[in-house]
Amino acid sequence: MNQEMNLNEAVNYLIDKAKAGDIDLEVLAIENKNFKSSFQKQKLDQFDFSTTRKIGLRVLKNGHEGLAYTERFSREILDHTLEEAKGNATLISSDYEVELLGSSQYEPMNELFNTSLTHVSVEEKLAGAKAMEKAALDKDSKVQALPYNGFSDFEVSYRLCNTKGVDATYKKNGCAAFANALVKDGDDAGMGVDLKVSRNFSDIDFEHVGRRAAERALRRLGAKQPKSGKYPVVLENKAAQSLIGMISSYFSAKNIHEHLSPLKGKIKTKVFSDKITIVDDPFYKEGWGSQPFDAEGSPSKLTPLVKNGVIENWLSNSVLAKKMNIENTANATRSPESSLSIGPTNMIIQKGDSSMEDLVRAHAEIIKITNIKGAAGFNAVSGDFSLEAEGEFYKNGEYAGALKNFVLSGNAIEALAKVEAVGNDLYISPSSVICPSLLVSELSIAGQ
Amino acid sequence: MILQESLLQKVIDAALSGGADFAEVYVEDTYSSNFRLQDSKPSQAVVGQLYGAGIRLFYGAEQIYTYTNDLSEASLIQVATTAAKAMSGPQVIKAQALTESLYDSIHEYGRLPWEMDKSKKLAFLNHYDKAARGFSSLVSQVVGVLSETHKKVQVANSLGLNVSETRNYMNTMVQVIAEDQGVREVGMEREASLTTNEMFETLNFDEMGKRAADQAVRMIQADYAPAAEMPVVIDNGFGGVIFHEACGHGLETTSVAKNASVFCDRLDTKVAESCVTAIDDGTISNSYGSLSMDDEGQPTQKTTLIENGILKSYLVDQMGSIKTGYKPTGSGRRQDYRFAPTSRMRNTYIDAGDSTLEEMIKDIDYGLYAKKMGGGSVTPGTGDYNFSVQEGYLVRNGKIEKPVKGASLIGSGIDTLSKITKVGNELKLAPGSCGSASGWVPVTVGQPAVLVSKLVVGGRA
Repeated sequence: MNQEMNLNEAVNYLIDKAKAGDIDLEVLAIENKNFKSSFQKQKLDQFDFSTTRKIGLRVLKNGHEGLAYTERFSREILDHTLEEAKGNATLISSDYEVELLGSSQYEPMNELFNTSLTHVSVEEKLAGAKAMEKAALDKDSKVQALPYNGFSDFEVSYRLCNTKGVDATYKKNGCAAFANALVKDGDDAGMGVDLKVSRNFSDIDFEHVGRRAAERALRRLGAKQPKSGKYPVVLENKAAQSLIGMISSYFSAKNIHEHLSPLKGKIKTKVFSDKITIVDDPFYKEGWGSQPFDAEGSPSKLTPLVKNGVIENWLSNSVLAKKMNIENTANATRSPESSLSIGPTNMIIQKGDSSMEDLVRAHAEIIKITNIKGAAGFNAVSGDFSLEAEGEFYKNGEYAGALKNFVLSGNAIEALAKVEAVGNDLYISPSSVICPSLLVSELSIAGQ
Repeated sequence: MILQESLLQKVIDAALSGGADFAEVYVEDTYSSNFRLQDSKPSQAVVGQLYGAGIRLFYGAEQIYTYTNDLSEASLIQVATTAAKAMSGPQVIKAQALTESLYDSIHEYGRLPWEMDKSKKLAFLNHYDKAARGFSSLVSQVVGVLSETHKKVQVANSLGLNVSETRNYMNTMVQVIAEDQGVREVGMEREASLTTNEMFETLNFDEMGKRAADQAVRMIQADYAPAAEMPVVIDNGFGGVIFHEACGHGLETTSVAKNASVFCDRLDTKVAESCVTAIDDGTISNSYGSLSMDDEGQPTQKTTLIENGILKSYLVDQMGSIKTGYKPTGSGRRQDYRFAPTSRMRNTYIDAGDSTLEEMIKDIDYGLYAKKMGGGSVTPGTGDYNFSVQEGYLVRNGKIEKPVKGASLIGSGIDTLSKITKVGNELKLAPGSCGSASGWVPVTVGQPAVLVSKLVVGGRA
């Protein structure tokens, strides 16, 4: 086997080789460092650490792209991977005309990488994860276990290079504490989750995360099945984020052009409630989707998507911008294994001024949805959903018991059209959607 | 063999240097190809290679896992040494000498992925497109995907094991969207197996495209399912997802060891009606969830989970065995080298009974017939699960009345099992992908048609 190169050598080798052979090539090189630890009953259950790297090649021929990727960087394998990508480009005959960008004038975002996080010792991380579990177990004797919990951190470096002159890099890091507590009382059981993400280790209050998960689980005990019917509903921020996450791809110009988004034809139209304003903000420092440039090397920009219910823009990349004659919003996405597409960076639903107390008091009877489980009941083609959920019942603003064993149904676009008020509580997670709690005038509940 | 025995021996020795009582190296070299057709044209062609190793150490019931894709000797030994330093054990034990043994695959394979022309693979996808668009003018989009994975795995450990296996998967899917006066619905068909690309030549792509189009068009005409509790007949094949979600995950020692399963401490007790026998079988020839050895290097097995309603076994991996005391069942699986193995399902099904589909439907006054299921998920700690119905029909007075859309079924594991009152006589398996702690793994689910006497059907109130 011939000598393996390091990541940068491999990228340079491929670009030089392509230039010499008059091949239009873009190389995406990613290096990931990950750490994860968790405890079960105060014993170390998981201690994972890793470094991996991958190179994805995109060769352009007659406006079509061919793809290949590898995790091995010997000369022989890089040559072979380049040949595969070249061959794949000749197989494609889609209507899209793909080009490489000539240069990338982006502003670096050094704030996405917090050097102090790289100095946190393994001992500190383990101590944090252990304390988090202990705080949850100590909260109440009904807390059985934290079946899913842990502290994790990541570091990722991107380098995007092409034969037309783009050579752009950035890196980011972050850490997260996650706890999911299981409580039992006789035959009754409940689970509760809490999560904190940050680029600062010192922002993570481990014991608070553990206690919050336990508290949320304890609130699930004694949950009853609601009566089937139509109810005003408060989607708690985490649940709202689950639902909006399912429709974030509807804003992609690619999905609009390919008849895959139900929002097709709705640009400059009022589709949602006037309480709804959405932006795609790649500069939002707290968001995990922040980036100085997109997957083609286009410098990031802020894009208004919805203003008071009216759709303002679609998210695009250079290909769709040209195809649909719209502005390139620099939302190209791609992984080493996948072709050029479009996605949000940080899709932020602008927060309102209602507290949770205000929201649950808005109607005489309200169901607050605290958790939406899975996405299997979401139909992406129509926006219809029937999703297993957990919640709480409120009468005249007063808590009136936990609810379980029911399905929340409706249409995601119609639900956003029926938003009566927006909470002041943005929920930030590793997802690209950042969202506050939402009061929806009516959704369908299937229970008893 | 991907890595030489002498190198693996050095890595294992380095991994044991901190006093671990067990060390394992998992090595993987995977070639994948993926082709996609959309708008009646080839729209994506990707090929690539994953290449990496995961090193795992046990200190009693505590586990360290690390992975890298720099498989040079220097890198592997450095990674193993770093892992060894993460904890310390009472004494450093010596690894047993590795003995290479080959796993003869119990499955039949033919051509390698790169031995079939790429343009030929893309040509199969044209059949989906033509058949679906030919079926109805309401069809507005057809997406076809065809992929192949050739995966070499090698497992070596401090007990002297050094085994390897090659697995070849093929996978194809068609998604059809139909549209009429602003109403849009989708239909889907999928085939996948542990086979080589000769399989593509035997598949009826036209028929699959037509079936997906038929589903989408039917659902356009459907009303929303009602919101109520009612009896439900779940048909065979992918209907088996109900057992997979409602019970299967709760039987994995990953959940059992954490006391996070409703099936904890229930061995040899009645958990279902006597008509229910459920099996998890890794040995079915060329089936999508099959293996020859698991990802811990143990021979795969056929495991009877529930026999005539009595719980007989959990699904046990090595760490699960250490934690619970149950014997491993060859169930240690992982997506790839980036994941430590955990206990996972393989081909999981409810065995055939003696009722017919017609009998079950005839007995229902008002209920749902779920002909084709979508995906689902479960919370093992509470046993609460959900899954969606892709093609459903309302049943009234013992007859199928009309198609309904937007139905999700929810329930709780043991409660649902106890409500399976009839089991059909035609067992059928269907492939799927299962996501859990150790990533996505290929599985099949299966059952004959079953009657569940009462389930929450989540449609529109």
